[in-house]
Amino acid sequence: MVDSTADWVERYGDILYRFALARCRTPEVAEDLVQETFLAGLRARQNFRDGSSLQTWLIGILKHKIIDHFRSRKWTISLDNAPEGHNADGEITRLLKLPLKEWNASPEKALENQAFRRALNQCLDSLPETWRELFLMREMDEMESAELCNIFKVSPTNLRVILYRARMQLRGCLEKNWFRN
Amino acid sequence: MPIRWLKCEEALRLLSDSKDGQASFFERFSLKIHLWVCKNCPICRNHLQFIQRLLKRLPASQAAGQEEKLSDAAKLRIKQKMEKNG
Repeated sequence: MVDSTADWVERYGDILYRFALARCRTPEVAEDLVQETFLAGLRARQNFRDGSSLQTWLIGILKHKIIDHFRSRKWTISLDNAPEGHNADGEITRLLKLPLKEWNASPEKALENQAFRRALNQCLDSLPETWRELFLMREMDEMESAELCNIFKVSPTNLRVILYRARMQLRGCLEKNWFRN
Repeated sequence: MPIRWLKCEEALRLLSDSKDGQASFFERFSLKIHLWVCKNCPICRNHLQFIQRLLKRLPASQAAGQEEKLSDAAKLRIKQKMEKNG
């Protein structure tokens, strides 16, 4: 096991940071979560078993920190007042009127393109913040619906609507900003 | 719930619900029938599948691209905190 704290930060800091940033989308929050993870790992290092992956262990701690962070949010996700930046309903209406075209791309190949990754991140950032975090936990980490409802304090019905709107808005954004061109 | 003909708006909603295991057997069957007949909705389904695969792979791709890194200031701050708490 690597004991030096400097080694931990140098070796795993960027990896943990990217993991946190992919989910919470805010650099300052991601930094804080990484710091909390390293401190928690430091306190619990006796529990780490030599032979297993320190990186995996630290990411496990980080996942809990991310969940705690979302749980501690004070806002209530409501469907009654459409959050700023939400245009999912407009997007769905447009979708129903226009003929669609296949994207004819593989996700893996698309992600090799830095310009596409930038477009994707811009589209993700354009989602209402209150939906985006929930949606990313679902898609990136395959978190179960019951756990998502618990963490984000939404009903199962609202969860379904949020995921639907987030998917449709993201689809429309990618089509408009990448695939149509 | 009986099997019934869906409007596109309902089909799109069920496409999303079925990704989360939230569509009943009859809803999934009704959706299948709609997708056989409709021109747009199967394409939308492919788009959503693309997005699902995309987001699963996004963190790894960003790690490979190494676009985001902890700033030197953040690394220093974290190391100092760890030394203080070590």
